[in-house]
Amino acid sequence: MAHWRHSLEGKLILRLAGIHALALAIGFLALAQRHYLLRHGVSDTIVVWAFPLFAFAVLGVVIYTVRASLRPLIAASRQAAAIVPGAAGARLEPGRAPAEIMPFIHAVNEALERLDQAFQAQRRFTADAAHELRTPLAILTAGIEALPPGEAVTKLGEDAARMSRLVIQLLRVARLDSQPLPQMQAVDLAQIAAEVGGHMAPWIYQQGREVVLEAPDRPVLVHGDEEALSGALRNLIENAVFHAPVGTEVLVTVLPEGRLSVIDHGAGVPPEHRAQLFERFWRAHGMRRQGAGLGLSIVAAVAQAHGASIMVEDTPGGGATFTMDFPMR
Amino acid sequence: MRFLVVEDEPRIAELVAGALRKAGFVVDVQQSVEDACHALDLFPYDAMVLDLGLPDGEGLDVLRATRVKGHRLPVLVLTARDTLEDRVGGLDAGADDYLVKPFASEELVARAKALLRRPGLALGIVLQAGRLALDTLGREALVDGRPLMLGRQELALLEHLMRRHGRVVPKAVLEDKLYGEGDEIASNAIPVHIHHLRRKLAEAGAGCGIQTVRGIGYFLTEEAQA
Repeated sequence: MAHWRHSLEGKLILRLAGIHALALAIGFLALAQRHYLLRHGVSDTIVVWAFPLFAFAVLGVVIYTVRASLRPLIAASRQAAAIVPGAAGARLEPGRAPAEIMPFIHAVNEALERLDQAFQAQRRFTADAAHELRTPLAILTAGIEALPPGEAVTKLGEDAARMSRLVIQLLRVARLDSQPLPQMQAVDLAQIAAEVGGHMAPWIYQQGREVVLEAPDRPVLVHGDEEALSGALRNLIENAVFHAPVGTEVLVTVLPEGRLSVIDHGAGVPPEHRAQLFERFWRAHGMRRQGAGLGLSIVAAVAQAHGASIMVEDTPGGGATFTMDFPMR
Repeated sequence: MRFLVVEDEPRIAELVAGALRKAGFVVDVQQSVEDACHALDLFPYDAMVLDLGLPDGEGLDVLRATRVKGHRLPVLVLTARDTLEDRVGGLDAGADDYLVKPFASEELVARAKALLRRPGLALGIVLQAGRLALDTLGREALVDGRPLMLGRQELALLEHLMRRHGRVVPKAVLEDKLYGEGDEIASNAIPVHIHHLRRKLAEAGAGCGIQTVRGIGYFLTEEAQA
């Protein structure tokens, strides 16, 4: 039975039996030699040294066999320790592990498989929820637009737009939670800032504000996920636009050392609010805000996943400056 | 100009078709991959609005089928999914633009018009913004029928901005379009042309202007009609 021979027990029995057989054979030969020597009147010698040697040999074989058998288990533990959320398809390598441990490794791998499936189900749920929520919202938005214009209709339109934003932000949160940043690669902060800024500029203009980008001509490469970073920057700019007075500009800066800032000239953030600012659904009391209190929590989550720091300071002359500092490669 | 709208959700189809009809287009609606492919074989549409999730398959199947048959009609994809993979997948399959649900119908019409404003397409010959019309073949700009005197480079700039009306055109893109490779470009060449263009548009009362996005590029704005 091949299976039996690969177990720790089997290996020990086989190897110890081998040593015993060897010892028996040597003992038998020694006896025969002694018998021969006695017969020819030669003096007798007793090979006492053979017994400790035998004991050492047994000990050595036991230690070697147990260690060699458990080495794959240590390797598997290391693999298990290295598994991170979202690392779909990570499995323990059974290697030459002894048969006693195989069921354990298989059980762990099956558990990982089930976790992967659960992850995928959650991701699918996110996508399905997106579809299910967005279609009725699109119908609602378009339906409101088709109504004859009036004050009530404008308000309804604003409400629907707010709901759309909330749904989109919620889905981003869900996606960040279910699948931490799948596509980490070298991305150019300057390019992301130009794309997001360019995309939002006409909307910002409609809101009566302006956006300005200051970035170096050279790429500013950081290790990250382009979509997540674009989303975070979009949220920072949106936040700044909502808080900047009409007629002012929102300045986006990218510095070569991996620093991204969004600077507005609004009311700024009082120091006592800075700690809670990045918490989900937190909103300043008494402020009529257009957001749902999710945007900045997404920014914080994205920053954390990138090993970047996020902070808010006062803009010289009034306003808030949000800064993300990325670790450089 | 005739649009094909492929969308299985009847309310969305109705609203999309309604918005496009209001903008002066003729619209047909189909609700499945099979019907859409059939309709495309029967009629040379000018553009298509395509939903990604259809009852009998993926909207991208329609897209691939049309591209295989060599139809070059511009396609605007509607989707409820906005992850990068979906966008890249769709653009690989030959979509020209994307709109993520929920969208404003104003945005839909603007994007649809932008698609048709591409060179060689239905709206790509005479571009319109405010009271300004730009004949891309005759190479002349008219404000209320009166010609506007523009330099060759100013006209080219205006054309690019009008083709991408409502969206920012990066400064680097304009430099690429206006100057050949290896040409010496003064760093203020584009801003100087824009400055002249802006003055001429304002003097002629063109009803449109050019907005600068410092550090990024420029976009065309339409003034509210007085």
